[in-house]
Amino acid sequence: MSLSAPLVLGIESSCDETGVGIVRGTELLVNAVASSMEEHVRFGGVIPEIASRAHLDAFVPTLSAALKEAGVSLAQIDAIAVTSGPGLSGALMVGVSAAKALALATGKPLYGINHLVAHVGVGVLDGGALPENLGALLVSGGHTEILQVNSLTSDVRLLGATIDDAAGEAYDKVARLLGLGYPGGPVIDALAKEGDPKAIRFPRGLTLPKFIGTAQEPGKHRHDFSFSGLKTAVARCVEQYQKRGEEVPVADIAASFQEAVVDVITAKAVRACTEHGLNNLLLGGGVAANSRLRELLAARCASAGITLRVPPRNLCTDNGAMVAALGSQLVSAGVAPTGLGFSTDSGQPVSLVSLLA
Amino acid sequence: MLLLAIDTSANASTALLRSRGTVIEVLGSCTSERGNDHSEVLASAIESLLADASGQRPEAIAVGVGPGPFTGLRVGLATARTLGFAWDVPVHGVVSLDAIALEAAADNPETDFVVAIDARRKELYWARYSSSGLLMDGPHVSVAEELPALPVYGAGAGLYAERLVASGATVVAEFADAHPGAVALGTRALRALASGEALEGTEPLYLRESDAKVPAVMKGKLL
Amino acid sequence: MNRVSEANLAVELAIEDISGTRGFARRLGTIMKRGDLVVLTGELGAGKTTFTQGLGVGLGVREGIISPTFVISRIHPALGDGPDLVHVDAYRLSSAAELEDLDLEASMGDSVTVVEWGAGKVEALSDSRLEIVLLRPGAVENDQELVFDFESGDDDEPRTIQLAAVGPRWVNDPALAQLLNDFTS
Repeated sequence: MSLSAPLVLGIESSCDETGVGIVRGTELLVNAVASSMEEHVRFGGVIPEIASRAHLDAFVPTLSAALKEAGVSLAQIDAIAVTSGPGLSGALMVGVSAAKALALATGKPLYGINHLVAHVGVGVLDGGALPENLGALLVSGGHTEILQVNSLTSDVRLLGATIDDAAGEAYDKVARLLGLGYPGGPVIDALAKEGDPKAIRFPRGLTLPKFIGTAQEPGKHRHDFSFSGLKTAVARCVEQYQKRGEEVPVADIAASFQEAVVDVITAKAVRACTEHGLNNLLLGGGVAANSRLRELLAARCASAGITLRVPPRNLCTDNGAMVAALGSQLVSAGVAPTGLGFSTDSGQPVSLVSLLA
Repeated sequence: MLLLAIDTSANASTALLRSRGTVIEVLGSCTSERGNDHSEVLASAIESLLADASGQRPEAIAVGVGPGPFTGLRVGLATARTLGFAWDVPVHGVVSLDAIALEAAADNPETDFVVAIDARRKELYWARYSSSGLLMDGPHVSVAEELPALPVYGAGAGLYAERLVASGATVVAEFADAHPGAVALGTRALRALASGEALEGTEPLYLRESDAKVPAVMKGKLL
Repeated sequence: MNRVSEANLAVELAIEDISGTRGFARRLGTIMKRGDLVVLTGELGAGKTTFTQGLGVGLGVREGIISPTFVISRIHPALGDGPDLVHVDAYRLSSAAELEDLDLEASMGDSVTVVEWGAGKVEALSDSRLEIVLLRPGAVENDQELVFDFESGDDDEPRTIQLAAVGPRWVNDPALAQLLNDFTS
């Protein structure tokens, strides 16, 4: 096995994407993804039972396709990595069971790795080794987190997270309120371009002094997020038009809502980086595709002297390549594999980059 | 033939069996006690069975396709399908209730009989078998009262003994705590293979339907 | 199903503001036992997450209770010897099959299970349950001017909690009676 560029197969099944990726060191060979997303559309969000059934049926075909596309055999693989958490527990179990079977059949070392840290690790596939003094902002349907990445393979800390709804979840709920369907992110992003972001003043969660304190004496929620109050405010705003029988100004609400989300996320991310001496920031997760988030984050990072890194879109959403990328970094760093005896951890904290044997 | 059997419809259960003609030898077996996280224990159990057999690679895999609680069931199926792919050996599905039926038939029942296990939500998974152990009807999911008035084998009988008796069935006491196990499941598969009988595919028997489908679109395969 | 007639107890509590919701839930958490089921109903922003956070404090489970909407179900482990808290959002789930993946039956015995939007879906899990409905007042009257500034939020609004106790677990339960007495007087 080449320690500097190990051939690693990564498996992801924490939500609705069945992903198998293969990397050699920091080189991406294949990123095969089967999604059950379309099955969830009419339910307005992911249904775990449907996702789990789809993972079971999609796994072997996706694995087979990935090996074929990459032109490698199982025997050539140096190590296997699989998402052990956080995520939907029934969905995780399908990927973990399959990964264990693969490790058992081939005798290859197996790593149970953290899904969120993999969203950061995927950065090595686009521009090589990650810089020092690195922060990460992860925004998706299930996550809104700011991380401090001291070492990708051994020291990742949570600086802030949502205390109620994730940002992507707020998008989905507001889209439901506005009758825009699922998923909410892309449709609100598009509609917001036609609306006035200043038309309605929506709340910025956890920005009051009692929550944020000062740099010297930080409040309890200085770097945390809250989108529940924002969602409620949108509900009330829609309600007042409906009660009066007036047309709901959907585009203005979408624009004003999006501005509130993006304003608070970017302001808090930049502040967290600045106060922790992080002059590099990596953006990951499905909401990284949001045009206004990218635009405002780029502007605020530039003003604060922070270098922003955004991997390509297909690497920002859930996929197996990010799992393989983190796995390959773990192999190179000499981290011991997890083995076969671990269980899934649907609430796996970021401090657990990979599970211990 | 060396066969690996897996059933996770109730407990996580696995066994390694060898057949020579009609003689079936159990090389090893392991069944978890906890009902919970099959994904934690199954692979290690298989690993130690194979190590005891000097690492010989099985020539076929038999896996219980349920019915049973979905989350656990999928652990066995994902494991079996992936092992089958990696080893390039066939994977045969067996109705999990058949495992209990095989042992029930050895009890020489005089009539057709029923095998029933807990389906949660106050219902049973059950199927009707001939006295020789052939699947006649099912599997179904229903309340206890809908079972035929026949001897009932399996843990489901123990769970709803009074209601089954009240509706005309009888409860076979020695089997009132019986769950599907990999030894019986593997035996069932080897006998079928020896006699040229066709076995099931590995589609899970969910019985309670969701609208899940296989994702049709493979996106971003090549970069 | 006629919920009113099958409940052995049904009350309506007037709550001053959102912190009152949290406080009531915290007290309720201290009397909950393993196997208990709470079916929680309330519109967006009615305080379902806040209620569950309070319940979690009363139970003594690990902090960090957030909305389960995206993941549908989350388990918050007990910090001491008490039950775990299983927090479910069943809004999108419509059938027994869709609930199956959550394996609530497996966790139920060691946990207190709270199911948001669970009415009509999860009653089969247990013979007994608490049905709790959180209400916030209608936001606007028809004759009011349109509002464009929502920045202050609505945490100070008065709210209503409806509670119905169903099944043998709650028949003549002195702890629940005491709690309701404290909050109605």
